[in-house]
Amino acid sequence: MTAHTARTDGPAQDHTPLHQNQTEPVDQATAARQRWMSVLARTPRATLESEWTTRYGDQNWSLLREPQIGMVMVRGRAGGAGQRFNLGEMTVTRCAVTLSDGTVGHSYVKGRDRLQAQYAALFDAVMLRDGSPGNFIDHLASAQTDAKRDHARKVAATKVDFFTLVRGEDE
Amino acid sequence: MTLQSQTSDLLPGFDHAAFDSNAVFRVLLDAMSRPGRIYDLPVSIATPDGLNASATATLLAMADMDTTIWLSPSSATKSANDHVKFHCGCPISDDVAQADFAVARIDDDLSFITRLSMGNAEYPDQSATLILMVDDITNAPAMKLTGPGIKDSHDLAIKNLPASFHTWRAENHHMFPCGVDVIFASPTQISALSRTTRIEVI
Repeated sequence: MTAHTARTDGPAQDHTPLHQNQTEPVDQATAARQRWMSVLARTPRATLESEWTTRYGDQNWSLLREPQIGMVMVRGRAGGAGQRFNLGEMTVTRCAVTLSDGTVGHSYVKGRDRLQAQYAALFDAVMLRDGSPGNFIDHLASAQTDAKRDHARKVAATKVDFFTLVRGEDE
Repeated sequence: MTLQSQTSDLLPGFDHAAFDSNAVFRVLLDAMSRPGRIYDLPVSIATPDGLNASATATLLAMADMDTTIWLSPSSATKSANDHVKFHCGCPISDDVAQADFAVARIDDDLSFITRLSMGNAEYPDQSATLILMVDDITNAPAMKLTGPGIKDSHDLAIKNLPASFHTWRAENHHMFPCGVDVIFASPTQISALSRTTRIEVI
């Protein structure tokens, strides 16, 4: 099942739903931005906060839209035809900031952590301004991939095959 | 949509979205229930080209994704459009008949006001609200207002209000319960006329 968030409002360019990814090609710059926004959204607040203070602590910026907590409907696909259904609602926090040169950064993160949303938007803005995500994102992405793989390995170790059950194919 | 267009001159909205929009809503509610009384705008707010502070605050407090906005040609600058779209997330229409809120300046061609939605007998609340940006609102005796919300009568003066406005108001008043409500928005003050208010030009 693929699940994605269906947004109820806000600028539509921030996240492209997965089903559109498969049909509409996105340009390289948008794809790069989607990648860093998704990595930033998964990064804990403490990491973002300390990285921001050490790298960009002297930046001037202001809030364009203060962090707001809201709900989005998460949709899934199921069945042979991939029919869409509403899985449930989840909490998201969104934020928009502007740097002193006018660059606007957006973020949508899971949960209710206002500061995480704010720092994610700030990183989005500086990455847009600089035109590249830098090694910070690669570093975070590989840490997230490692964590996912670790988790998958631990889960796989507990896998049980119920091959003593009659499944019907022996007859 | 290219990434470059993200770099724009977007302005911030309310400093404290919840408290400020509440304060503005309260003022609008008071103004609409006491037609002709003049209220000070309770917040200071960044204003895009084409709009004034009271009109911007009114839109930010009232408009959302369920309300359609119409901006008159002179107020529909790119900056005003972007500002309202970003902060309210509301649809902006070219067709004045679709509008829930219509925004215009007092010196615009006001012939569009006859096309504003009046609501219908089942749903008179679906009518439009006209937000008229004016230079100055005073209590000088230019119009004598009577009707619900006014104890005896109330004086109100709007600079440069054209005669065609009064003709339209008179027709509008006869359409009750349907009809259009008007909010006068000067840069610092707000006053309103509900559809029930009778106007006698002095």
